[in-house]
Parts: sequence; C-alpha cells; structure tokens
Amino acid sequence: MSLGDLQQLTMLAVTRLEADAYGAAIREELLRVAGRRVSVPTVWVTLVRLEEHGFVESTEAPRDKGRRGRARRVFRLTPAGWNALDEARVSMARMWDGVVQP
Amino acid sequence: MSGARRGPPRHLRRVFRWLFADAFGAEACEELEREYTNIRDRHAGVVAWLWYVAHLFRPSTWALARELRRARRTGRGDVGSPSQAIGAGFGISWLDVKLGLRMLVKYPGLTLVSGLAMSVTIAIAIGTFSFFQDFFLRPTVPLPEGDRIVSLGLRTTDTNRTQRRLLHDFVVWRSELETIEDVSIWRTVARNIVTPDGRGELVPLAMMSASGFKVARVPPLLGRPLLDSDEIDGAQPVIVIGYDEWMTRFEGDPGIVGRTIQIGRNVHTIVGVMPKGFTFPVSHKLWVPFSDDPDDYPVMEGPDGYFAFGRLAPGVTEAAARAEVTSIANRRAVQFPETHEHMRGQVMTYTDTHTGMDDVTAGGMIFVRVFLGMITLVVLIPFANVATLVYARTATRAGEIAVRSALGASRRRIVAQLFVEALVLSTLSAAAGIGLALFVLARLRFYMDTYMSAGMPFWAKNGQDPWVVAYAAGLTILAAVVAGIVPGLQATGRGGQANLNARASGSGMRLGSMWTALIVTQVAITVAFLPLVGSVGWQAIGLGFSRPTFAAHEFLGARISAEGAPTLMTFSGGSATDSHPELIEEVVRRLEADPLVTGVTLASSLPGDLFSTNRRLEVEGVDPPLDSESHRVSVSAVAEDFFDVLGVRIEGGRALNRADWEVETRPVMVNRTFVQQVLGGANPIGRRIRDYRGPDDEPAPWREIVGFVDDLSTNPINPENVISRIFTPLDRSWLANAVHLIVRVPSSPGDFAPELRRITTSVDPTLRLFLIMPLGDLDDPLRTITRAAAAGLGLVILSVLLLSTAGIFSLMSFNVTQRRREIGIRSALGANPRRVVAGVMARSVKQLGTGVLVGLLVLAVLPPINLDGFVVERDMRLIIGVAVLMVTVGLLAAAGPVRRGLQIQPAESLREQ
Repeated sequence: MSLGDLQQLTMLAVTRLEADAYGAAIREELLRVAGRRVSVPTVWVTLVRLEEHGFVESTEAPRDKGRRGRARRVFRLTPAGWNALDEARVSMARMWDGVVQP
Repeated sequence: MSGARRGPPRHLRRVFRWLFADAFGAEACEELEREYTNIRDRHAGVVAWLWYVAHLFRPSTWALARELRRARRTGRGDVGSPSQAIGAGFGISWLDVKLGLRMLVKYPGLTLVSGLAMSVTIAIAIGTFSFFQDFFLRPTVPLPEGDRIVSLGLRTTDTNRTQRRLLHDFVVWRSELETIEDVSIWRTVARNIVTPDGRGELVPLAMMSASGFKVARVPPLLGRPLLDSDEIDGAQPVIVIGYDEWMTRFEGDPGIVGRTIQIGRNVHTIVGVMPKGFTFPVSHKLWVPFSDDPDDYPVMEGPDGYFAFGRLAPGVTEAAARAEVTSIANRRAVQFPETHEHMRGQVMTYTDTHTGMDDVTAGGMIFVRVFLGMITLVVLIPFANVATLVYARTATRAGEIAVRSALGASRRRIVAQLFVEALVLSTLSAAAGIGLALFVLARLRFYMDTYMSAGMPFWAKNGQDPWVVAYAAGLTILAAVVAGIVPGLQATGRGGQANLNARASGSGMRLGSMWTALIVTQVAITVAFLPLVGSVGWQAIGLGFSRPTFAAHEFLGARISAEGAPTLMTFSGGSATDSHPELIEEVVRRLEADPLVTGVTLASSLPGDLFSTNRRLEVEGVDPPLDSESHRVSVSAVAEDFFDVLGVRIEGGRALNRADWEVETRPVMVNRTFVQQVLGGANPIGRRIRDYRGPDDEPAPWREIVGFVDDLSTNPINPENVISRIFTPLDRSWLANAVHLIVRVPSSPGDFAPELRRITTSVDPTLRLFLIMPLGDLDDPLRTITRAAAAGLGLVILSVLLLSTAGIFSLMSFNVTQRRREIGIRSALGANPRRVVAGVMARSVKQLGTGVLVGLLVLAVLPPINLDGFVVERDMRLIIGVAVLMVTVGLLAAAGPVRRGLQIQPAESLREQ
C-alpha cells in the first residue's frame, strides 16, 4: 500500500516526537515543521487508519495531572511503518532523480 | 468564572462524545474542547461556537466516527471492546454491577421486600402474558405449515352462538370445498378402557376422521394412522394410541401393533402409535375412527360437540376459503331455511375455535392487546412502590452523591449507576419471578392434564416461548427504570440536588409537602385496598381448612354416568340417548352386596362440595328479599338413606322419606349454617322457603323444611366458609344424568377404587366413573387447586402488605430522621423533651391519620365489587387491623429517630450549626 502525503507527514511527526507523540502534539508538529494546519478529526482519523494498517501502534502513557488524571495515547512507528515510510521516501527520491526545474 | 464553564456547550459536547465513543475518541473530543477554549480566549465566544459547530459538518469528523465504529466492530486496534465502548457511551461499567450487588447485601431488608414484590409482580405479569399468548394472541400451531390449518364452523347470526352439530354440514364441506383440502371432523368421547382384570378406566378419545392425520402431516412412530377404510360400516374397530399411552399402558411394547384393547363393549385393534408430544387435535392421546352416520339423524341433529378443520389449498388465502364457505352456507340457508336460515359459515385460525376467539373481530383483538397493556401498567404500581423505597435509600446516600458530584461525576453518570443498581435487583427478582411463573404454569398444566380430560392444548407453550422471555426482559428493564432512573433523576435534579446539598451541609432535606403526600397516599391505598384483597384471600385460604364432621376417611366418592349422558368434565356435550338409571341402581345393589362395603348412597354432589351459588331466598312470613339480598347456598339432591349412610344425626324434625318423593313441592332439609344465616337461628321445622330465579325472576314453589342436620363440614380458621345447604329428594331423573356414588368402606376406601371400577364395569362396560377419590383425602384435586390458588393469593397479599409496611416505615423513618438535628437543637435550647416529642409525633400522627381517613373515604365511596356473583366483602376487622398496623408501624418508625434526636448532645448540635 502506498502512503498518502498526510500519512507520511503524520508518521514523520510521530518519529520526530518520540515519547511525546500524542494527538495534540502531532497536530502541532505538523503545523510547526511542515506548515500544515489540519483539523483535530483529520489527525485522529489518519492515526486510526495507520494503526489499522499496522504502521503505527499506540500505548497508554502514564496519567498526567494536567489532564485531570486521564491517560493519553502515545504513538510510535512499527517496523512495518518504518518500511512503508522508507519505501515512500525511496520512491519519491527516484521520481525526483534527474528532474530539473526548467 | 471557572474553566469548566468556558468549555463548549454541554449538548454539543455530548454529540461529539457520542460520535467518538471510545478511548481514542475521548482524546479527540478533549482536543476539540481545548481548542474551543483557546479560540474563545483569543476571539469571542460566538466564534468558538461557530468553529465547534462547523466540525459537525466536516467530512473528517464523520470519517473518524466511522473509522472508530469500524475498529470497534472488527476488534482491531487498541480502542476498547464493543461492550466497553457501549458502557463508556452510557457511563456504565462492571464496577456498577458489583456496587449493585454490594447494595443488595448492605440493605437486606430493602432487598428482601423489593425483591419479593418485584418477583411476585413479574411472575403474575408473565403468567398472564403466557396465558394470553397461548390462548388469545393467535398462537402458532407447531405442526408442519401449521399456519395453513384452519377451523370451519357455523355461527347463528341472530343469537351469535356457535353451532357444534356439524355432522351434515361436514359432509357437504368435505365433498364440495375446493379452497380447503382434507376437510376433517372430530369430537371427544369419554369411554372406558377395560383392563385385563375387568376394571373400566375412563379416558377421553378423539373420534376423528382419517383425513385429520393428513392435515397434521405427522407420521406415526409405529404402524399406520387411521385410514378412510376404517370408517366404513362393518370395518374392524381400530385405534391409534399416543406415545404416553404406549409407554404407560403397554410398557413400550415394540410389538404393540396388532394387539387389542377393549373400549366399552368393543374390542379395538391397535394399528399405530403416534410420536411423543403429538396430542392433535387438542390434547388427545387416543384416536378412533369417525363412525357417526349423518343418515341416522335429521339435518342439524345428532351428536353435539363437533369441530371441523382442514388445510388451505396451495396458494389459497383464508379470505378466499371464507368466501367459499359463506357461499355454501348461503345456499344451504335456502335449502334448509328451518335450520340454516340464520347460519353463517366461518373459516378461522385453527386455535381460535378452541379458545373462544372464533368470533373476535379486529376490534376485539385490539381490546385483548389493550387489556394486556393495562396489566403491564398495573405492574407499575408495585414498581412505583419499590421506587419509593429506593428513593428513601437514595436520599440516605445523599452525602455520597454530593461528594461524587463534587469530584466531577456527571448527573448522567450518577443516574446510570443508580439504574444499574436497580437493574441488578430487578434482574435477580425477574429470575425468581420467571421461576415462580414457570412453576405455577407447570402445575396448572399438570392439574389440567391429570384431572380434566380437556388437558392443556398441544400448542400451549406454558411460558417457554421467546416472546415471554422478551416480555420478561422488558419488565425487568421497566422495573429498573422506575425503581432506578426515576429516583435517581429526582435525587440529582435541581430540587433534589438542592436537598442533597442541604443534607451534605448538615441541615437536612426539606421534603415537606411531597413527603406528606407520599405518606398519606401510601397509607390510604393500603387501608382502602388491602382489606378487600385480604378478604378474598382469607376466604380462599379458609376453604383449604374445611374439615368434615362425619367419618369422611371411611368413604369413597365418584361421579357415575351411563355412556351418552352429559359429562361436565369433557368436551362432549353428549345426548342422554342411552342412559340407563337401572344400570346405576344395579351398581348400588352389587356394591351393597360387597362384604367390605357397609353402606352406599347417591347424591347430586359430594358432601364436601365447595360449590355454591348466590340465591335470593324468601322465607314465608318475612318480607320478600330485595334484589340485592342474596344468600350463598348449595342445593344438593340426596337419596333417602344419605344421612344414615353418612352417619349424620338429624338434629331436629325428620329425615326425608319415600313419601316425600311423591309430593309435588318436595319437602327439604337444611343444615345448621342455613338455620343461622337465613333463619337467624329460629326453629326451622315447618317453615317454608322459596327462591327467585329465571329471566323473569319468578318465585319457585314453596318448600317446607321438615328437618335439619348438623353441618357436614367445619372450618376452624374461617367459620364463614361453611356453606348453607338445602337438601332435596333425589329422584330417578338424576340417574339419567350424572350422580355421585358415595360408598362407605371403613377399612381402606382408597384401596377400594379398583374394586369399584371392576363392579361398575361388570354391570356394564359403558358405565363411566369420574374423579374417584376418598372423601377424607386432603389431596383431592379441588382442595389442592384451592390450596394452590390460596397460596398464590397469599403470596401476593403478603408481598403487598410487606411492601406497604416497609414503604410506610421507610417514609416515616426518613421523614423524622430529617428533623433529628432540629430535635437536638430544640432540646439544646432548653425545650421540654416531652413537648419536642409530642410536636414531632403529632405531625406523624396527623400524616398517618389523614392517610387512614382518606383510605376509609375511598372504601366508603367505592361501589360494591361483584366478581361473577361473588361479592367481595368489606370485613371491618380486616380494615381496622390494616389501619392499626399502618399507624403502629408508622409511629414505631418515627419513634426511633426521635429518640436518637433527643440523645444528641446539645453542645454538639449547636457547634454543628
């Protein structure tokens, strides 16, 4: 399965954030680094689909006092996710290879 | 302004919580809410609101909702199980169930009372529903393509009566109908099976046309069904037997086919055995060929009690069949105006003709359903009572609820928990209720199958039906809603919350007028209705304690009739064509000659018979009775030697003698209760009585009382259950119908039953004996059924009484507990304790007294309740008893908290303020 643009960006955000890769942080990272403003449901639907495909997995992070003791979900890439992301990068590089802006 | 109030509107937030209902979704919701707050802080509230609402129209929102649901369904992803998701949606968890169970243990009294009330209520509702399901709601026929089997019939248009002399019309239907195949007919005949040792055992047989087996489409287990050739004149008599008969009478003999069995005077060859559970056409276990010949009778005469049926031809609707039957009926009305002018042809669902639903219109069916709905509504009353109890408990948990609210629990969450607690109670109660209902229904089936030849029909499921389970589940949830959600909403609502807060702050709940209204209503309902129900129950219970005053343990009783005579316990109406009074007289002679027998007599009813009717009796010299004046009396025709054989002494006057048989207006004897109840204890000898009856209410001829005897039974528990009796001479016309044989066998009457059968059969194998039983047998069917009914009624009364007293107790106790602090403060301020107590108790007395008064008022204005001739009496002792009980329980409940209030240290009370 080939990854879409937003999926790639989301997976990269997850990788960059490491242990802090939770929903809100991912959305902020997308905005901060890639300049992509995405809605809350969009980020979450992307994450749910990625998890369904086995490209990311989530665990419950320790309870946070700032969130009234509620746990939150932290994402990380799975080996399958790494492979897919790498494939996408290689494909993109091949496509760019030899392309010169006129 | 608190942070929480800057969040999105509650209702919108709920929509998102519902859409994103799981752990993933909850986090998305929180993010949306945080974002909303940020926007609101930066811009204006309306901008944030618009931003939030716009999300409802974003494709990504619905895509996420869809993905979350799909993930739940497939179980992939760490998004929680479906049940967790649903639970999360409603805020319910297993912990609530555990809490519910803990509550049951923590409040055992409440659990017991509420559980008992719910169980009995649910049992009654399920029993009623099951009965309706089996008899009135068009039950399905459990046979191959059973819904295609229809009944045929005739009904008079002028008097709206069902015609069961169908012999001639059946022949026409069978030869002409094209829309209905295999038109068949049957009637029940009661016949003696003569055992190898010469005893006659009375059994109901289905005399059914061979085509009936084609309609049923059930092949025999062994041999063959009845064939058309079996019906031909001169054919060898044959019989098909049911599985149970095969097992019990022939011990499952594999070589049964070809063996013979004597029925009445004929020997029948067994040609087949039907499989287990097959009791078609209604509840039959033996089948003989249809042998009635229409040529023997004029049109619309001959044997009564026929039922016709058939199977709709392929592709034919019931309406088309009805049209054809109607057209035949119209033609016959022209051919035979004398008999068929007012006859209307009927085609109906097979079961309707046996359940009295054959003339019920669509409107009637709606009525039946509405009635069933009303019964469901009636069960709300006990549920509401339980709700009151639960509310009182909820109120005592006010502190807990207040703390939970403060910790962030939503109203929905708290109500959900109270609902689950009530659901735990109602589920356990429903399980007990279902068990009770199934037990009672099974007993009912047993009694019907054992003591009535018209046993339970084969389509009756006796509660073992998915619809009954669905109904029970519905009731369980209804009970939980009434007893859990209603008090929960009440306690957590605006008013309730204020009360809870007040309570939490230590000043107590102010329930004032609502609480007073509850107490008054509870007491009023109990005082008004419990004595009425109690009166019925007391009489029913009392019937079970009647004891004979003569040596009943030495007697054997049975009803005897010749073949063809009417029998009360079978489907067949019969026609007294071949009754022979002299046969019965011969039985009496042979019994008298038996060395074990010391006496034989005849009567129209057994001495312990409990049946009586309300009659308007006039005593000569006293004003004629008013329309509303009647006495419950039992009239029995007895043989000359009746009291001699029973060993009952004549208390006054003389016994009936042979000369009395010749007098046109026959002299009568009465019992002691009659003398007390009707004549007010005056000397009855020589007094004349008559009763009013018939459509014109004409007085019957005068009858002179020539003697009186002691009561034949006594009742130490309820003396009013001893019935007034009139004894008239029994003449030979009775013998043409059915009379009771009363045989005195001092050694062991029960063991004499086989000999009684043998002697009767030796006189004539067609003489039938019904319900043979020792008169002293306390387990006779009538007593057992009466006792079972009384036990059921007793259970209902007990649960209502328990519920009412517990309701009053908790209401009063709670009411006064709220004033405990006030009592403490007043005594701290130096009030005289006696005055404080008087003040609080006076209010309680006022509340309880008002309830009693309202209840009595309701009783006074309530019209007399007449259940099919049985007037529900208002027993003053019971009314006073219930009123005193209610007031006592109420005052006791109030006394405890008052005492505790007085024990509070004054300083402590003041400090708390």
